[in-house]
Amino acid sequence: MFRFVQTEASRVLPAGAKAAMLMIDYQERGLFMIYDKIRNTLNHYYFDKLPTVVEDIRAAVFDTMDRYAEAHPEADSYTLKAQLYRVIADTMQPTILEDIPFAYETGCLLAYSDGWFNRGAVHANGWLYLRNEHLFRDRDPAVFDLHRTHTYSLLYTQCGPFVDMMHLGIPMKKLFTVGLRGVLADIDDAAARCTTQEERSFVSSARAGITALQTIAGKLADAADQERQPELAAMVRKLAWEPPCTMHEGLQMMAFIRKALGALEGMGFSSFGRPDVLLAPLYEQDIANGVSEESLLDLVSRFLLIWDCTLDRRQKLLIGNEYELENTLTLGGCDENGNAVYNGVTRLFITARDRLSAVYPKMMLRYSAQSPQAYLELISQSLVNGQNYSLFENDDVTIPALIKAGVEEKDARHYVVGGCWDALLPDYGNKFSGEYFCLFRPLEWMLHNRVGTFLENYLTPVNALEATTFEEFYSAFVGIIAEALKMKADLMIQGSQVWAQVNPTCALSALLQPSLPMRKDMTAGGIRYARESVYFTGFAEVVDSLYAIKRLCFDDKVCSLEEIIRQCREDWPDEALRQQAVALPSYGDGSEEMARFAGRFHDDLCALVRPLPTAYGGQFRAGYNMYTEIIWIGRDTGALPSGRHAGEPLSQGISPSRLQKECGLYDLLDGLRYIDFTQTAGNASMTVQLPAAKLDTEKMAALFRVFAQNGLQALQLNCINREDLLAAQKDPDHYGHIIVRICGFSIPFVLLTPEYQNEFITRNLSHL
Amino acid sequence: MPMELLISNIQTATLHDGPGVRTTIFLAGCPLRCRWCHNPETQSIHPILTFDAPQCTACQRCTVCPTGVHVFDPDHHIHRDRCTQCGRCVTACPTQALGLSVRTLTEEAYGQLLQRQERLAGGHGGITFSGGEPLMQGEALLSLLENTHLHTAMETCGYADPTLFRSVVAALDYVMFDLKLADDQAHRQYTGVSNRLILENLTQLRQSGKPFVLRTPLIPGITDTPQNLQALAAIVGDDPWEKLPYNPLTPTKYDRIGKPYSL
Repeated sequence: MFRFVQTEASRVLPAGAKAAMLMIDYQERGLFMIYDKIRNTLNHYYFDKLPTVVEDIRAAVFDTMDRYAEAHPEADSYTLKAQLYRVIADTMQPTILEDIPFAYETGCLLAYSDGWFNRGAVHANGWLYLRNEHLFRDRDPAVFDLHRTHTYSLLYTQCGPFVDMMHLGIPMKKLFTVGLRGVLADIDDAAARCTTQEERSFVSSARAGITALQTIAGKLADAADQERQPELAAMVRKLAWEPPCTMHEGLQMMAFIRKALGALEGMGFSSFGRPDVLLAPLYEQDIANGVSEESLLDLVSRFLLIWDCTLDRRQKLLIGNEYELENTLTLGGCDENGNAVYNGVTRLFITARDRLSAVYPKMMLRYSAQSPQAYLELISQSLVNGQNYSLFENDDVTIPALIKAGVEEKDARHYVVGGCWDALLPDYGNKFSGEYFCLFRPLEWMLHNRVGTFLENYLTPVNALEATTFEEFYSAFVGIIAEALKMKADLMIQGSQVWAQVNPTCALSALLQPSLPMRKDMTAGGIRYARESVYFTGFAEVVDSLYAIKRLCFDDKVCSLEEIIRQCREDWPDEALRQQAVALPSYGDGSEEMARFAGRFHDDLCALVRPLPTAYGGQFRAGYNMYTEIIWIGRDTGALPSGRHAGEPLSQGISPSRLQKECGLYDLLDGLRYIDFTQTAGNASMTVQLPAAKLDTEKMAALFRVFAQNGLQALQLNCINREDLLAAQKDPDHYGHIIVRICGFSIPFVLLTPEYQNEFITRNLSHL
Repeated sequence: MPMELLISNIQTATLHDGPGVRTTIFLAGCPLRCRWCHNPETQSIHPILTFDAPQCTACQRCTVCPTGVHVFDPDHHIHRDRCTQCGRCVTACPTQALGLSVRTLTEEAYGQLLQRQERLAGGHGGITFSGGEPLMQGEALLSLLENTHLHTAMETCGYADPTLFRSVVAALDYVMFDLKLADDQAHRQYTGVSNRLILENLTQLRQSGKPFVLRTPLIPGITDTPQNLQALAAIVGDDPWEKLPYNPLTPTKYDRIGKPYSL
């Protein structure tokens, strides 16, 4: 369903009248019918035909590689990867899809795969990883197995192999400046400087990877010729060597590299980077050459449809599996020189997304207190219509946070937001590891005696009842966190040290700025900036619980610590005492006392993270985020001293506890006043729900400036009407247009399962 | 002597009471008695006992009242005619079901409000005086405005002494001015006062050079009639004019103060 509402935002565009006319033309000329047809074409191909093709290619590639490996038992991981590149390029099956003016489909990846070899099904690119995966475990099988077994009941999620093979950004800079010809020249240069066998293996594999990309481009071009699209074929052949010169070529490059690199590496690629930086010069040139905005809007729309249609809207979203996707792009913010990025490309992407109701690619929108008013109003337009597509990332916090973490200012300004909330610098490094750390687990261990093998064998047991003061309790609690963090960091280093032996990423590395000059693969440390992080989860629950223990057991002496422990173990049989706990000041209530209490805990956590060792140098990063685990880890979490019952959903990121049903916005902001988010380069997400009926774009723009000014980092904003959501549950056919921000992604509300719908509806609402 | 305001409420992060993100102070007392008034608890400058029935748990702690306002038989009956506004029941109530409609905003507390507004919203909002009718406490308001460096706005019915009106408007940055009924007799019938003074002050507002917006609540069958809107349009001319939708929650507010809703 496509709708157009002429808005203030469209009126304030420099080409406002033109933009409005485009919208009207869009309907009048029946473009929406073509886009519907494209959706049908893509859905049919992606979900009915592609899975068979992917499996056929996988089987063929695995068979060929097995025979190669048997014939070359001496081959190292680089040599095997080089061969895997060649075999995949030779085996891939190009497809040109009707009405899509881009050639990108390799047949190697399921529609919703980001490139990671095991997303939805095992892909051809997983051959090397699966062959070598045991190396992660071999270093310490007992610890590895223990973590794997207890993944979700322990401190962390995603336990093992302790490196992150997803959420990568695609390095676009070389592709858009020197093209693959320039990359091959860099490889020649690096080859001439190699001094060790490992360097030679890496550079040789990098050449094989880039050549494989060119082979894939050639096969796509041939397919375009067969489909009688000679212009597309010529474009693809040109881009196999040269950088793009037009918007069309730029979009083709983005689509091609996302799919082709994903097909080759076995790694998950999330971010396309920053189209309104990459494509802006091409847009200007196109406009100067007489290309119409209308045709460019159409191109961008068709580009977005490629990715939006990878979400299978024919079924309910089964959160936690393959149907939440990893396509992202970042818009807005500032450029490397600090100048605001808001241009025709920004407008094209947001306009196209809004008119298509395209959930993918996820658009990560950078902003600051100084963002242009027209930009803030433009990004507000979908919000006030109840369509909550985006994450909003505050440059005023994230850039200083990256600088504090050791990133040069120029590079920090060019960050992109990766899969869900990672601030990445895809041209200089990438994400290497980053896992959730459940803050409430140490508290559970202390209160519920859920010790088990893990704590007994690997952490120092703590008896909560030995605490005679709150400070003693707090120190013991923080001590567990410190010990567990250290153990986690050591595991991450161990994982990183064997990564290059498992699955080097030489084609990707060749596109990075530092890898070829260093003659070192990305997985071996051929990067300028590593990104190793820990995301704390359950911040609000733990702050409120610690404060409840302080007040009830030590300051006011309402009950003993033993009694609180009993209440938690038995899920609060004493409702009156629970109400007393709930009635205490809590994080996000605006009180000075709680703001200072939360600030102290935040500072203590960041102080624990900063000195942790990293595999590739640079600083370990702290963050606060939580994904869909709020429900299923919540189910496995016992009652807490805050008054939270066992099994209830947790709060997200840095958001207040769900026990606060309504939050005053100023109280929320005041609750953060002693929390310095420039210490959390790992990003800290705040979920805010606002009543959409009270908002317009001008007011939203003012709110954005207030959010920025108050140092919020990542904002998961939902503008909703609760009545509409309740109605949508009863009558989903009429409310398909409501898009909600869940956690790191957005989705049509009606596609959620009832459990997730209810979780969303019962989130804290900020009143205005 | 420190200045104080009698207020009924303070709302933070408001978006509909002037430009940007604001703190709105609802002053007590209003010279009009609009039949559709959506803030009836602010009409009186004297405290009224308010009761939010859904919050009441019938714990009967309010029977601490020395004059027997609260009677349980077993339903909770409130005899407001016996109330001396001493506030003891309000203090005793554990769920905030009971309250008093008016409290004092000291100069010190006002200063803290300003600081918070500035700290959180900076230059992206300001302070709005609403009500009630802020000009009922015009002198105190004027005194506070002299020491307010943030952006200031006022929502007014325009029914005030012209000299005072002129002085307060001169001290403000923005005015939201109500125009309800063009016909004077209808105005008397539905608000209790003539509109002549209001129109006189509208002329002064235009002459002040201050930015303003005219606002008309669309009350079904009263202010939203074609005749009234046409007549108002003639008065409004080219000035900015907002038409505000009727607030369906208004009757509930009357329940809380034990008054009948006459619409």
